[in-house]
Amino acid sequence: MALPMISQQDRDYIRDHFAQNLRGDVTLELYTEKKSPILIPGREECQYCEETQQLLEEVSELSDRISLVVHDVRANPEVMAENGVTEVPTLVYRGANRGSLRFLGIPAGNEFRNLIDGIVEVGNGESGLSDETRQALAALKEELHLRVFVTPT
Amino acid sequence: MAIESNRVRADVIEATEFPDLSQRYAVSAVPKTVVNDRIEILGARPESAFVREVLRAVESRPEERSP
Repeated sequence: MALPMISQQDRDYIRDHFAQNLRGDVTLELYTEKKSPILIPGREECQYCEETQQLLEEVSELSDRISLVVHDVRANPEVMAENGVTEVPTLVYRGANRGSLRFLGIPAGNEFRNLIDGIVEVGNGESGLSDETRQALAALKEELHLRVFVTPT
Repeated sequence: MAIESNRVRADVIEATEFPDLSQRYAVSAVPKTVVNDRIEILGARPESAFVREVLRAVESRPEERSP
């Protein structure tokens, strides 16, 4: 069994944080590539897929409201196309969010905090946005597709 | 914004893991936000400034004139 990625202290903190703040259910849907038992020369392996899965497993254990669903795109390549997923690992947040929210890559470093906050916001369906912003969004006639590029440090 | 509106799709992308995507969108510094492949926002902004810039992507453009 791999060493835990989240320290005991952090787990306790996050567990409490979820217990106090998370009021709805969240499903974390992970599209990942499980390691092949055969080494195929020239075939690129997904660098952070395994760690991402482990990290999300550890997070989902910290609240009964969080479920993790893992899609192995190696075993089921069609699920990627069916769901508009083009990269691995991709995490799809499913909860009280009205729009689509995804994270591509491993949510490490700074992004780990955003993962925890994202889970709470998605679970509660609370965007925390100003009234002005909410009105502007309500008036939207077209789709907005935002791609936000970040790094862990 | 994605939590609030069903018209919003938000993908947060860890740039170092996806060099092809980062290259396609010419990402040299983060955060960088690309909206509808049309508008780029470099760096962070306070909420109202960010939203204003994002909405530029869907502002009415000069359409074909109707007869």
